[in-house]
Amino acid sequence: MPKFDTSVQELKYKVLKEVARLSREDRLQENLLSIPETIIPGPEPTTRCCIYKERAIVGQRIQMALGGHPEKTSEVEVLTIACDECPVSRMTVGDACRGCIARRCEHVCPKDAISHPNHTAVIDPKKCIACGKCASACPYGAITKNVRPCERACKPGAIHMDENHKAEIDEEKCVSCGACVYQCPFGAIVDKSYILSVVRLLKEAAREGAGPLYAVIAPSIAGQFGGVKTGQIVNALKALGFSDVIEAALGADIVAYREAKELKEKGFLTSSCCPAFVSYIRKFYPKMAEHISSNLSPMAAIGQLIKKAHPDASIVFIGPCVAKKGEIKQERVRDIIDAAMTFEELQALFDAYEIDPAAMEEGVLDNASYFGRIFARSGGLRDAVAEALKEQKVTEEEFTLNPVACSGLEECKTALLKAQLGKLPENFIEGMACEQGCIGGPGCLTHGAKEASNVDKYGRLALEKSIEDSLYICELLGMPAE
Amino acid sequence: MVNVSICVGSACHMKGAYATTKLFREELEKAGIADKVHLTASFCMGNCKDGPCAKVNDTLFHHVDAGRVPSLIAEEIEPLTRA
Repeated sequence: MPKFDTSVQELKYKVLKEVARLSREDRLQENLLSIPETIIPGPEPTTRCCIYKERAIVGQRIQMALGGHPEKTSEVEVLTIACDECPVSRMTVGDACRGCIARRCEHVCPKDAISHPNHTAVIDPKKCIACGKCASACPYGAITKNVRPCERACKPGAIHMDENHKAEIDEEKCVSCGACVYQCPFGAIVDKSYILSVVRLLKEAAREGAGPLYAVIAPSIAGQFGGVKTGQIVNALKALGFSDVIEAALGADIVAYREAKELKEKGFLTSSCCPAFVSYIRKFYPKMAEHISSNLSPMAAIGQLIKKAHPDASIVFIGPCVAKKGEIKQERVRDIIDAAMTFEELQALFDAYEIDPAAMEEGVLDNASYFGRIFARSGGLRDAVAEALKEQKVTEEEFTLNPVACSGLEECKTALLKAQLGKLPENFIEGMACEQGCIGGPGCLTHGAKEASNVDKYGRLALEKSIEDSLYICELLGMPAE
Repeated sequence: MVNVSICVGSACHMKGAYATTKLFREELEKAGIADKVHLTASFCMGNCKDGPCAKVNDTLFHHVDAGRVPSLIAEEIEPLTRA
């Protein structure tokens, strides 16, 4: 069994694998309704009250594996049956309450929500606004603040409870970062999957006279898939049926080079690599939208380069990101990238095709520089732009870079608020919606403390020592980086 | 115009494809046929084991490392420019 952080990921994986396997064998339609029973054979339930509920949840998972509800714009959806209706009352009084005389909690409450009817504090959930003042005031620490994990994970505040106490996503606010997907302990929020598009592309690529099918792989691959080397993943992808594998990090080199030029010209910029960050700006700080870099993301930049050289090519992006699935639907990217999937989904695909990357010989993957590869971690883009300015021989007098690297949407919010008020001392915002950057992405198989050092180590293996080294081939491929 | 395309996919790159492209530019100039040859790059040509690969019009050549460039130009490309 592949290595995941949680059993929730494993359950999702099982459904994706089964759907991909049946589709590969052209047997999906006639077997669709028997998948829940295959996954949950019974007779005893393992995670819920009964096997029938477990199977009903698998049914909803199948729907997500088939692309979810297209009418919903968000890339994540709530599985209503799986949502366990975590406690509604957000402030809870515990056993440590002594019903004391001071009653600081009662006095500090701005909504008069607390009373002491039986020598113990009671909170009226109708009045409580969950400000947390009572919890800070209690000398016994008897009051705790409970927030649903999905709500806590959702920094844009797009998740709330509906009238049945199920989680509900406000699509106006959702930026499809996918944080809730990884954080919900019941696996009740899931990203839409387009794994069947990938199966279809693989089938098409196998036809006589078909154009090449390229896999573009994100640099955050370093350290994923347990002990399997990136070179083995390359050969495993080729065994699946991809013509070749190309580093998204070369696209990152292109982006860094262009971003440096644009920044010098405009004087202030936010990055545009992270689609969830870009969406966050557009939805919550629309006045700042004019400062978003005009660059495509590294995924789209490398896709553009591939399609210049091979107009008949199809491209699948593989990374840690949920928001990328939405990015490829945008007008600027639609014709460049044909499908996007996560590392989680790639694992399911390998197993559906009975390909074991660990058994593969080690292939090679190298076109990008160290700087393109470190985009995968927070601060990488900042470092790459600094390097690009240096390589472009921009002097301190011409332009001095003063960057802020924001890891996670909370830090992005702080920087954007300041920038909007004209009070941000820095002149470049590197915004990554996921904490630690892409290596903290919800589609990663594992989220460990070592991922950042893995990325740096992987970066140092690059043959290209400078950004200009790696951009050398862009002109020959038909798209100069400048 | 003769089309010459050199594979710069990872496998060919590791075997020296970038050096091949650089030498191609120089040698085409030296031979005085740079204006008659359209030099481009491409990603994988599906022959990773025998890289670096190059295509001259539609003909695929294997093991086109830097040492092979002058003879390839003299024997295969230059005659085509005269055709």
